[in-house]
Amino acid sequence: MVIVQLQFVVYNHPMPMRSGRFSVAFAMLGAGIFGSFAAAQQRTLAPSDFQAWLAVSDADRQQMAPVVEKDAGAEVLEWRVHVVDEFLGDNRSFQRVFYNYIRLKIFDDRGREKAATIDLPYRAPGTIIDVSGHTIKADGTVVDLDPKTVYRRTLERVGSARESVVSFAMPAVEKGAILEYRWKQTEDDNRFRYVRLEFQREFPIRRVTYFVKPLDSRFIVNEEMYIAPFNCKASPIKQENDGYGSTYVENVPAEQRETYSPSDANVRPWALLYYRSGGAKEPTKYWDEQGKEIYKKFREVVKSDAETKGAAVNAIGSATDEGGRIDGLAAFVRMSVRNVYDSKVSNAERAAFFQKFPKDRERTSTEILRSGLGMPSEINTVFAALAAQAGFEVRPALVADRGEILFSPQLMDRYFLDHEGVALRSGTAWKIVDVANKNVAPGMLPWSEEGMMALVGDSKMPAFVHLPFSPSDASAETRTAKLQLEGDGSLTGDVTEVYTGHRAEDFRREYGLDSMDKRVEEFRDNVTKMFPDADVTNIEMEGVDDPAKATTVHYHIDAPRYAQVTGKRILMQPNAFRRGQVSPFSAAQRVHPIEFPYAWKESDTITIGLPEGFALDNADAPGSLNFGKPGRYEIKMSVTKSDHPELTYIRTLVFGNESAISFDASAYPSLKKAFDLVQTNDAHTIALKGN
Amino acid sequence: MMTDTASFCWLRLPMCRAFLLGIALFSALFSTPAFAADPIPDWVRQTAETQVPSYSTKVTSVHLFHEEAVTVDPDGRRVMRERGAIKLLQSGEKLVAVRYYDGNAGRIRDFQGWVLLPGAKPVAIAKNRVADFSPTGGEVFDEYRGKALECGCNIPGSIFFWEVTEEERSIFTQDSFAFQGHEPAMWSRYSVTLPASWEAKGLLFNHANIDPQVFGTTYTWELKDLPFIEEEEYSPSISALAPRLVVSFFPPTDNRAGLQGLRDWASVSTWLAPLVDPPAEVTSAIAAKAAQLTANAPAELDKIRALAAFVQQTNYVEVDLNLTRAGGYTPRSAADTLSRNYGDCKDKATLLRALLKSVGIQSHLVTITSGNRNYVRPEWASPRQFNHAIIGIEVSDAVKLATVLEDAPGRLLIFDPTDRITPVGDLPQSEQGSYALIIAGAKGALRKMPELPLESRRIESSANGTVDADGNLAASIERQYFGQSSTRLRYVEKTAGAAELKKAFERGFTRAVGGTTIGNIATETSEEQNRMSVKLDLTALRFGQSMQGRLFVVRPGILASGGQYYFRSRQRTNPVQLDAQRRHETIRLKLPAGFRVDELPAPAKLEGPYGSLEVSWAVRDGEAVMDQTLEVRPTVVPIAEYAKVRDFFDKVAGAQDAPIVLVKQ
Repeated sequence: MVIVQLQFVVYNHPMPMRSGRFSVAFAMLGAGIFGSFAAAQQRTLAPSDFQAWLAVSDADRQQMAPVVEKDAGAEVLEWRVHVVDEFLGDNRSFQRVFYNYIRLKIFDDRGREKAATIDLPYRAPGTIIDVSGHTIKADGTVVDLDPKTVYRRTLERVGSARESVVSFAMPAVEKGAILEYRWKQTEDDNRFRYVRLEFQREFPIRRVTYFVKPLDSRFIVNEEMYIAPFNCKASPIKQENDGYGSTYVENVPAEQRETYSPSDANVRPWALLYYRSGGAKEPTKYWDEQGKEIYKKFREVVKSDAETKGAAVNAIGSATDEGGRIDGLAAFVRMSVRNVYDSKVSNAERAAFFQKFPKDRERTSTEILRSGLGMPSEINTVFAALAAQAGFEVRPALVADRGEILFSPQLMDRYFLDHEGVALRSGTAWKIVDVANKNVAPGMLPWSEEGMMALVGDSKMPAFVHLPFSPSDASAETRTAKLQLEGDGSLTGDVTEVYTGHRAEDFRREYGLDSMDKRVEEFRDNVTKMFPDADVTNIEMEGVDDPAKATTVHYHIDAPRYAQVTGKRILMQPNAFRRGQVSPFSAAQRVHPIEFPYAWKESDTITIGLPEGFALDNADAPGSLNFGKPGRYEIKMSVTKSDHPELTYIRTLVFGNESAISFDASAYPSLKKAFDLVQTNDAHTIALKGN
Repeated sequence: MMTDTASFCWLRLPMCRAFLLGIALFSALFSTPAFAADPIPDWVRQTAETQVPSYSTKVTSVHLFHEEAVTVDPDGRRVMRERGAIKLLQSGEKLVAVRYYDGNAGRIRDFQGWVLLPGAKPVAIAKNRVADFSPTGGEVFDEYRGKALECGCNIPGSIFFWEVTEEERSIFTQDSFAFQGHEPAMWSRYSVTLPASWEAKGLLFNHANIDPQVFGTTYTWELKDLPFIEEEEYSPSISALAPRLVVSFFPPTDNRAGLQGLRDWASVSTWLAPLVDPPAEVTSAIAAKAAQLTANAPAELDKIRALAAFVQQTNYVEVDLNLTRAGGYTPRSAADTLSRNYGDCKDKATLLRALLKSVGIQSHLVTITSGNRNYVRPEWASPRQFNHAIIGIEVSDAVKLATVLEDAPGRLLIFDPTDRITPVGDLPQSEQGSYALIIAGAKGALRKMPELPLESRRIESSANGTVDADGNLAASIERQYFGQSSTRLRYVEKTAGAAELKKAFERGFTRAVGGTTIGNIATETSEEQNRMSVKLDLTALRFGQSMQGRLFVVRPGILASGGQYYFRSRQRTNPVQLDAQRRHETIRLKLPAGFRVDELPAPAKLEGPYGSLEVSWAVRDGEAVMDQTLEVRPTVVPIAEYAKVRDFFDKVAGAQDAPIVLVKQ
């Protein structure tokens, strides 16, 4: 696993605390009235950056080449963000404001083109105002951004939801110019006790500085502000003269995307600003309190009654073993309660759901089951209720997700542990179940939760558990084909493909939303990418809509001119189904670590009847590869000796054994070579010669 | 090939003002009930009874009914009412009705929808579910907007109905209507009601012409049972496939609103000239800049090149305002564009016109459609066929370039200053051979743009390498990309950098050759010769394959620069559009010692209407040499010739994959 180095910077609240506690309900109210109170807001004094442009040093003017990345066409010399909480007209609510100031230097045509237009998107009820800018040309001439050329557009508006953008083109952008622009952006996120401070942009940055002030004491009590930087080294907080505390990061490269990168949270430099009450605690104590609290809430919503009991009995059916009972319960819950965010749920249903949703409490398991529609956490609540009725010892669980920063108990905030699952006692251990994702096989977790930590709530002894990675066998792609090669190179026969675990999940995600006819068309289209000119017929799919089953596809293929007919020989790639499959790693260089989503196994067993009058000509197998701990790649080929000889080709690729799915960037050359060899060995050709 | 050209900076073409698409935001947050209790119109009830024929499983929905009814007032104000009904045949498709409108000079007066679920009665969809959005295309601002209504139904058999009424004040006297998109349409109709004493003339593209039904001053065109248009690779665009009506209105010449009917291209030119000429005024700043730029350029062509290069580096920034009042055709003043160093295509062309004028060279704005050389139809004289502006520069006989149009009127050097790569003397590929309007008052004319010879965009590729006994390859590859064949690579290098260009080559070679690693890569661009050279070192695992040490197979053509068209299907429903290319490959590979040639591919020479291929292989002194020349002509191949064109490219692919078989001596 990639280890994320965590460096915590703790910033103590410098103001006196007052009584009264900030509540979530109030937070949402505050967010809701941003728009309507905007006109009456009492603006605080803008930071000095917004009152006058900062002086440009001679060094900045004379700089001829970028510092952070040598090939960059432009570089942000300075990005300053003041994070301010401005009080609105009622003096009881506020909005979060980001005063942004960017100084950008242009070095070449590439930078000039990229920096020519600026788009600043925002989402209502937040907004962007007070845009200003100017260009300092290479000869020192200053050209102001004409405010009339700053345009605001609503990109999309549905009811009260609105996405907008402020766009402008900087004037006189040329090589050697310095562009400066600034804007004031109000935040619409109602979770304003958490602020994500981004340190990366499309251009490399020499220095990005955040200036922050803690929330006013009317909104936080006994809480301290913390800044947790990730994937960067942020400076210690410095107390500025104007009441702000500042932290900066230097030499930030431009954002870059690579195949199989960990999630953004684990590769981009950023920091979380958040508040925590009660001062510094031991992680053990903090999570102990959280575990007890979630258990208490869990007890309030997980109900046992005759209806639930009957449902549990019905769901389990005749299953007696633990796995079978869990599978039965999961299948029942998925069938009985649809995920409100599922794309098959119509907008009308979704709208009605949210309109009826209780404003001041959570729904009980019985209410959720009756409604037949629920949020992901609610679906797990129903599962918990049924599991309890079925005799399982049940607890709530908070589960980390790889989409967020890799969790460690040192990260003492629920922000980092916000997925809700269910823990079932299995012997002496806890088994974590999350049934909200309907594409995941029962008994498996979504891959983004595998390998993560989970907090199991309890009234007395909450505990962390490590969730296992599913083994490669659990996510298998198995292909069996019986084919006949003809002397003209055509290949004909029947094929069966079977997908399990996360491989089946991927398959369902690709095909599951379509009608059966459409699935067949799409599948046929995908097969003909490997076999141009082929007829793919008799396609039958099973298990696409039932995650409890493997996904299976049967089809018949008739591929003319599959093999290459030369004057004397036929040249053929025995692994017909990997034709055109390329290595995921084409680049020679790598910046980010490599993270595969899950371990998997590919098994192909292909039998090919050889054409009459032809025999193998010095054919051999390409050999096997041993990847060490992560897995292996094996090819076995054999030919029957008979009047109608058959070639049997067996290919096995296993990757991710022993949880080895994450690699540091330094392992990239080895990984690239491994997958390069898989590609070349898959393309292995055999020769047949006429008798 | 991707070309580096402007996005659409002229007036949007409302070919199909309403159609169906999915938009991300619409899965969101509707705060009120979806269905309202409005009365159901008769047309909805009647359309619901439509019997749908059986379609291919590729068809996911069918338009039962689609109607655009336009009423034009004497002052040019239009009211456009659209009605549509679409039946969902398969789940998985989101039905959304979208109507574009001008946010400044127009509005959507009403937007209603109804849904009929199988076995149920039609119900109205709440009006507050109509979303308003900006169809962004990279411009800084565009007053054009859209409204969308999502059906919210995904049960096969459901029918989604919508009715939308749009108002617009416009100086245009033309309109267009697409009778269908890719989906089949059972009944599609366009009607226009004009003021008394106005006339309408319509033309139908991609379909046999039909006469309108005329009742009073209402003209109606109607088509039924239009088949499914499948999306296939290498197809012409839908604008060349689906029936499309274009209509010109002719008001009396003395109409008070000053509206002009446009009967021919000279009229269009005359109408546009007062919009495009005044902004090309020469100011002192323009004159000073032109003088500075041409200080060392005494000759006519040198001056043109110096000024053109300057305008090419002017940043492309698009701001679309006042569209229904011809704002999309009216450039900003050249002086403004110069001082801001940005503008859209017409601004850049106008800046170049002003700079040229200040050094004594006259020019004309030329309007064209970017990205589709077959879009403009000469039989419909209309500015609405264009989305792009380039320039025609009056030149003397001394200028002898392939992009000079004789008698255009006069000798005009055609140039696109928006294209940041293509220099004077060349023209973006998608503009070559396209019709374009030279705006020259009453002398203006529609002309076909120059088509440069294939030689001008050739690729010369040579590979020299060694294959060892294990089949591993180490090779040096050098490619010269000339003219339009170089623009995409030059654009990547210019806008994304050398690292991205390397990644593009890495991706390309990895697809073709397993186990590829590219080491050094060096590029050199010659603006004068309009070419780019790329040299790279490459290694590939098991490029050749040894079989038990006794047989060795190697396919030199894998290192070729490309050029294939792959046709996956035996059947075809659309014509095939081929783009011009010429490639010459020389591949030399030193083979492992101790083998002799057992099989060598036979040389091939193909010549046909789509292009030609000449390829040969030889093995001399332990070195395999493949020499290939491939030419593809820019052609739209009719469906009837599909088998032939497929066979031609099968042979091209076969040549590039052809093996040399060696046996142990």
